[in-house]
Amino acid sequence: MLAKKVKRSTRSLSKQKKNTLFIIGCVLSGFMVLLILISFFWTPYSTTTMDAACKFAPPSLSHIMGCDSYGRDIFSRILEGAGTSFLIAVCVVLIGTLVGILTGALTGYFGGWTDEVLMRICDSITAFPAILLALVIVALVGGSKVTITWILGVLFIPSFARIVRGEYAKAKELNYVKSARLMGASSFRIMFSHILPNAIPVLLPAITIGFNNAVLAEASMSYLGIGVQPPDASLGRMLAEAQIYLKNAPWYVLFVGITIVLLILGFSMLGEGLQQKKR
Amino acid sequence: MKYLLKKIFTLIITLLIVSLLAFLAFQVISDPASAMLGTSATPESLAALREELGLNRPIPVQYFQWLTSFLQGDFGTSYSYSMPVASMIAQKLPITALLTFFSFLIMIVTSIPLGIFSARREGGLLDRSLTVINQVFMSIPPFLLGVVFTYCFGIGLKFFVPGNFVSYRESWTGFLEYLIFPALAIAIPRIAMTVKMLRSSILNQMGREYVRTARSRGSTKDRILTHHVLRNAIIPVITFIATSMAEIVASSIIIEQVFAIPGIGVLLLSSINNRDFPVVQAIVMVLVLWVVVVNFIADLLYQFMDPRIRLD
Amino acid sequence: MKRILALLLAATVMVGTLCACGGTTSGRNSTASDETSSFGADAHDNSITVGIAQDLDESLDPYTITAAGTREVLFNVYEGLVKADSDGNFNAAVAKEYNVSDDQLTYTFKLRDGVKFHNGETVTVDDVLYSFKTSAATSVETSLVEALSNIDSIEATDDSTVVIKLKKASAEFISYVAYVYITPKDYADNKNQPIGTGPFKFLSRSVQENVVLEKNSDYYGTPAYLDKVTYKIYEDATAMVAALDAGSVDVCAHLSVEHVEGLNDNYNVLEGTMNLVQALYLNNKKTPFDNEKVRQALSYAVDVDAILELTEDGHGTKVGSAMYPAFTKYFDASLSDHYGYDVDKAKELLKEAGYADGFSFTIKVPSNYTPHVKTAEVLVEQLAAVGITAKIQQVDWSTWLNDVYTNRDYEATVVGFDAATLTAAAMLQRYTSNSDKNMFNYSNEEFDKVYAQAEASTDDVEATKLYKQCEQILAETAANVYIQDLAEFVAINKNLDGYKFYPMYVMDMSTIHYVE
Repeated sequence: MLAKKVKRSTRSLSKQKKNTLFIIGCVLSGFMVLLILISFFWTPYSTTTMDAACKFAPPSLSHIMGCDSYGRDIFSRILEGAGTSFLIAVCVVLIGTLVGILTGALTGYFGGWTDEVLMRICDSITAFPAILLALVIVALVGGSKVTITWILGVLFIPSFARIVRGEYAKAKELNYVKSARLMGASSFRIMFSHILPNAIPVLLPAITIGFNNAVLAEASMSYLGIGVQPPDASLGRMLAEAQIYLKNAPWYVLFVGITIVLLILGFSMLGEGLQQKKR
Repeated sequence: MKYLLKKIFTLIITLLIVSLLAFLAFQVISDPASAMLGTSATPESLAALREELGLNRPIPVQYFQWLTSFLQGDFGTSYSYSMPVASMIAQKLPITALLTFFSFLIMIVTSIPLGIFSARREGGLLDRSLTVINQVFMSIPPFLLGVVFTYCFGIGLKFFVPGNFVSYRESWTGFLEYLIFPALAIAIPRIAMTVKMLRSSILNQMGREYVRTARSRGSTKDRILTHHVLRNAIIPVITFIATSMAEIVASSIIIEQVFAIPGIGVLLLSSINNRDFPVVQAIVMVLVLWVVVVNFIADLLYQFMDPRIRLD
Repeated sequence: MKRILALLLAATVMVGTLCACGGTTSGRNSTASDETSSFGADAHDNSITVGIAQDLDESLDPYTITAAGTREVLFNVYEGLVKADSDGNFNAAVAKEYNVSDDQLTYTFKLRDGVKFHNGETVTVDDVLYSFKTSAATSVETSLVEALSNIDSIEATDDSTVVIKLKKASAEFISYVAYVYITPKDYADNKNQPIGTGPFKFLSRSVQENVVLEKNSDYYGTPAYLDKVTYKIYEDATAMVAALDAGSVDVCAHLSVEHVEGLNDNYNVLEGTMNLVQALYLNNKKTPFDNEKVRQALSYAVDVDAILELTEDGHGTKVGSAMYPAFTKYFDASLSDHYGYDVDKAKELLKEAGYADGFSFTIKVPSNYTPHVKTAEVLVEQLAAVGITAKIQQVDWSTWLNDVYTNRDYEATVVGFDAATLTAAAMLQRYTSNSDKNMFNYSNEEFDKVYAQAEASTDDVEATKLYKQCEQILAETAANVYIQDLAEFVAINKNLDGYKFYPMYVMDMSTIHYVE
């Protein structure tokens, strides 16, 4: 009876938690995405006009986040920076998922020694922190928006491939797949019209986590100066700039920092909520 | 035993492959001769230098030569500083290593008690708010924490002087003091993750059969937690902590930049900017070695702790 | 389980005690170079810490120095037969006197008695000969190599006299002699352990951390006041400023205005110039920059005052040609206003040149020099107002050296040129048509003619006039869009005095001392 009580309370609690986290996550990330989408078409001020009068101005009604060292409106630049970081993260996740699904599906379904080899390679790559590998590659080819996106995208493939492969390896043994094969459906059809829809829900939390890691990785690299280059704005790059003026304009760091946190937080809560829904 | 040998074998193979890749990337693809001579290169001097460096020999021979020197501790000479790379790295490595260990220590010391505490208090308002706070801290990148610390504790409260790194050769206390905030910046997001993991692992265990049995026998929840559950719950967490070592190294590279700590990370970044490939190559090898070894140990640990998982 | 927890607890206690210990010991048993002792504290040892923004990431060999930052530090370690002072004059150093023949072809140097190297050995004429020979063979400074190739013969006529005979008369030869640093014969480890004759000895260095010099008590001239100088490397500007704030650094040069604005009262701030020419340098071979009217239009379109205002709060000195103000001998201030800010004139010239709709180009900027990046960003805005679209491409320093400086593969760039040797040639020679340092691909017959005349002239007054004429030609033909000599600020501990600005990128430590 006591045990039953423990069990019940844990269950009802997780239900409650699931709802709040998921909802907050949706709202937060939805809000950020909306802001970013709007910023592609309109920003309060131009992100490049320099206004010497406004230099280092603290937050005010006309410039809600103040101005930077050139007199450019910080809020508009943050929107642009968030947009760049967001776009890069989306592309990275896209590359990772698409190629990951393809690889994972093929190896998981067909198995064999290609499966073994590929999984070993994936393991070795996931063992290293992405930043190190990215640093080394950038050392050789130089850093830029495009390079970073490709490098990170490729680095993210193994983790997605792994998950997908797991699902396909499992699904291969299930009845509905076996019967589909008996009915003469082609492997291709089975893989992508039957198994894939079932694998997607498992991927979703991984996608949100991947998105967060991508934002983090890009921000870190841009902060170090080997990612997005000026005049392209990126939140990481802006943080590095803001740090120089920590004494004159501390709100610059504050706002950039909060934006980064909110962006990541929104999607991480979303991912959390999705994961708990799965349970 | 067989498992151990197999694992060691895989380790060596991985290292060899990585060394080959590193060698190809830095020695073959980028021309060391023109990098060394820089703007004063002429076709004759380039050819002469290439001959001297032995760049005209077949690649496998060069690789073998390089590998043997590397294993003997000769990492080559820096293009920029004209100093032996090995001595440069030897100077900087202790600093980064100490920073990493410090963060690791803080991480373990804080997250395990916190994880247990939060699992105990499960269900209260405190717990729910802690979960949200935890989530927030997980989302803060270490370098952002670093900048915030620099401002609040450095410039604001003046607990430390940002950028005023004190070498351990001068004063151990000064050195450790300066490292506290960088170590915290690295540790905090990982503490949050570990706490979350430990907590869910514990709660997961609490729902198991053997717990119900123990409860029915009259043990209190607390006693069960510390005497039975913890041992099992901590297994997945231990391996997470061990693999965190690799992540911590990556974070420290960035944190070193934020706090101006002259460690391996700063050396790596400036060498990348200067195209000083021997240094980059050597550091990459060292870091790769570190990561691979740590993962290896983590694997063994996992094996050791849970006898059910003997994979042959 | 209990054991593990106990271990962890012990670890925490250990760490905690260490921190507590560190906190309570205020009178730290620290070494001589400790920072906090220098502020008005009683027993400040006679040493200072200097903050520098970049490590000396090259070999310390005297003849292969490429970075100005390295030269700045090693100026205190190495010396030549003569040495420049803060007014730009060349005074006797390792040589106690020198004599120039009337035809300017023979230079006779009398060695000073008893000058000692930092390793204790006495300087002999053999060392001087060796230094000249090695310098000519290995120096990376082409103007120096050229000047030295003008030497017909160099020999020691006795134990303390060196006679140099030139092939062609040159009034500037003595300036180059100052750059032939005298080092011990056949000594091969200058690259790691420099041995010179200067007022300071090289002690040690730790990569990316510091460089330490100590006083040379056997110095033949006025000895330095300080016992030890530690150059600490702060690659990050915030860290540098924070160190200044906390008093960990006594001297810090090459600061920009926002760094010094918030400094506390423990420092005096001195303003000087960086002694370089910052400009929008154009590749004269690439369209449309091969059209003089276009270059002139750009010069009109650029508002230098606004640039100074936006990037450095108005600090900085306008220049109109390839010469910086501190080099008073050759600087022509009237050229700074040769163009002025006139958007309409700019548009008109563009139309005449056939670019009424403007055009676009890329500015390659070295990413490690913030002042140039900042100027480039303002330039982009200003050029947009006349219909020209400029794009900034940031590259790292080695890429810049390779692409822009060596291969001339660029359209425009923003960078600063300083004088490697204190001569007019150092600034102007690169504009001659067949100079291998002419990365701007500038080619003007009249300039070549006047420059050759100046170079050949043996009368200093006439040569100066001709050099100034060269500058004028550069301004009139808008070889590049000249902008400014950057202002530089030096924050120096209130208790220190004796800092002198030189017309070149050096920091003389021997005159700095504590004021009691």
